[in-house]
This record gives sequence, structure tokens and C-alpha cells, in this order.
Amino acid sequence: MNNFITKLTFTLFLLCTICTALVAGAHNITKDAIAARAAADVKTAYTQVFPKMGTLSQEKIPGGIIQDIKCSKENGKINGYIYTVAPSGYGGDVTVMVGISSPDAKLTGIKVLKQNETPGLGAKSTEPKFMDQFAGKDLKAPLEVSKQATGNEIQAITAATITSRAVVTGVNAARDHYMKTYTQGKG
Amino acid sequence: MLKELTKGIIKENPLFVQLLGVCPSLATTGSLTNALGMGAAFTMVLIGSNLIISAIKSFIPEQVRIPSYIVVIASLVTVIEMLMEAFVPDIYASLGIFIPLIVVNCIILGRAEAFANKHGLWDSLQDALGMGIGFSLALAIIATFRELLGTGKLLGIPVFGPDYQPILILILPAGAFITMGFVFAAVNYLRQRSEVRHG
Repeated sequence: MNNFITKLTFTLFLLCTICTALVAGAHNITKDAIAARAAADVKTAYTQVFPKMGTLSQEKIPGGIIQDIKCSKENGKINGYIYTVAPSGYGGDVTVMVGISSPDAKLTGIKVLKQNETPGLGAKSTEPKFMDQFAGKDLKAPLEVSKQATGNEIQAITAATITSRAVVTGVNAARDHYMKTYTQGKG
Repeated sequence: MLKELTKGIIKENPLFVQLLGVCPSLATTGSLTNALGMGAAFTMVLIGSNLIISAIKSFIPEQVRIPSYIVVIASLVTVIEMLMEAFVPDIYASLGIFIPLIVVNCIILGRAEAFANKHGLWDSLQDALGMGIGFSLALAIIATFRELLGTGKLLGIPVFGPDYQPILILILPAGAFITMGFVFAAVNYLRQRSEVRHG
């Protein structure tokens, strides 16, 4: 009986050891490539929302729905900021990356990074048709959501007003922080 | 000679007949692209797991076979996921999200227990391929209905034109249950009819 139990335990132990070794080996082989790819993905997202991206440096994060702020410098001069904001949507937080050029205070683009909105409705926020509206908007006044977009208004996604408002709320939070912190009160 | 291959496609279809793997099917049939992606990733993992289980079956004592299979399958899926992410990032970008779902896919463990631990490598390979094709086919059928009626598109390409009002519920989780109910009913009806005729 004892022998039998020892045999079972030993087999399982051996199998687990082999499997762990294989997983650890695969992790070692792949971890550099995976890390490099993740870094490249983030960089692609940065250049999508802020095409003129220079050297990035970390800014102080004020908290609230603002998750991250990066300051972009070209030839030692600040040419913009990239915000990551996470306003609440219909199905949880909607993570949005927002590019703002400085000092002219214009939106250079946004990208919805992560969302859990209703497929076919709020999930349309990731489509270019919605995201492309933001590029070029002036930030002197907050953005607004409406059915027919003019001037500083963003056209809402049909049947997904909550999601549209969430994204605009996030962009406005970035705008407020930018205006207060980086324009020396001129905004 | 290819009996083990063809049985998984219709006669023992894992989803329609054995009702295994319903949970990942609900999650990935919202669009045909997702369904095909899940089917491909699933077939790959099943081939690997069936081959390994079949190869080590004589070393595993019967009393600890289930934990052994789970360890093997979970490790295999993890290794495949890491290798894909590192070396074929394009494929990983489209299939990657389905891979963690496969760990909990009961068909993999089901085939290990019901088939691979009693048969040789060649039969197990055929079984894996057949079950993989059968599962992919089942997913594709459900996804075609859901995407076509739920969005008016197929593979992301508009089919019904701009005037079509999509039946949104079909691409929501509730729609997955509704569509599956109809498809299962249709499949069972056809199967029973053919059994009556042949029986």
C-alpha cells in the first residue's frame, strides 16, 4: 500500500517538475521578445494619438480618472502631452489615450485602448469613424456631445450616448488638467 | 482508415452532439472572424494535447490520470501562448485572446480521457483533427447566424446594405443562447430524421 502511494506521488511530482521546467524554459526564451513587443505596441499607440512625438518623460499624475501623463519634448522644447484617462462607460472603465499639442492647445488624436462596452453599440467607440472626430479640435472650451457635430461638438455614437459621453468626459478631464497645469493659467 | 477523423465532424460533433465546450462557444461566436480564430487555436492545442497524452499514457497510473492531464494541458497551453506571442505576433494578435479560454475548454480534457489515453499516436492525431474541424464548423455555423442577423455584416463586410436594422440581441450574450437553441434543435431534428431512415 505504501509503495503504491509513493508511486502515485512520485509520478505526479515528476510530471509537475517536467512541466514546470518546460514552462520556465519557454518563459526564458520568450520574455525578451514579448517585452520588446509590448513596448513597441505602446509606442505605436503614442504615435497614433500624437504623431509628432519626441522624447517622452513621465509627469506627475494628479489621480482621479487620469491614469498617466507623458510629456513629449522635441529638441528640448515641449511640444505636447499624452494623457491616459479611464472614465466610466456603460460596462466599466473605458481607457482612452489623448494627445494634446502644446502650446497651441489642440487635440492631436485619441485612441480607445480598452473598453467593455456593448458590442455593436458602445464598442463602436474603437472605430475610426468615432475616434477621428477628435483630432484637430481646439481645447479653449470643453468638448460637448451632440447629435450633429459642429465646432467643438463630438457626434455621439447612435444608441450609445453613455459611451460617447464617457470618452468626451475623459478627454475633457485631460483638457482641464492640461489647461490648469501646463498653460500658466492662460487657458 | 480515416474513421477516427470523420466521426468528430458530424456523428460525434463535440458541440452539437456531445454538448461540450458550450462556454467558450458562447463567448466567441459573436463574429465569424472570432469563431474561426477560436476554432484554429483550439485545433492546434487539441492536436498537441492528444499527441502528448497518447505518448505518455503508459507512464501515468490510472488513479492520478486526471490531475496529470490537467497539468499537461495547462502547461502546453501556456507554452504555446508564450511562443506565439514572441515569435508569431501577427497570429497572436488575432488568436491570442482565445488561448487562455482553451485551458478551461472541457473538450480537450474530454478527448484526453475518452480517446487519447486508450489509442495510439496516429489515431489520436486523427481524433484531434476531426474534433477540431467539427468544433470549428459548429462555431462557424452559429457565428454566421449571429453576425449576419445581429450586425448585417459577415466577416466585417456589409451584406444587407445600410437600410438593414440589425437584431442587436443576437450579438449580445443572450443572443448566443437563443441562436444555439435554434441551431441545436435543427441539428437534432436532422439527426433524428436520418436515424429513423437508416434505423
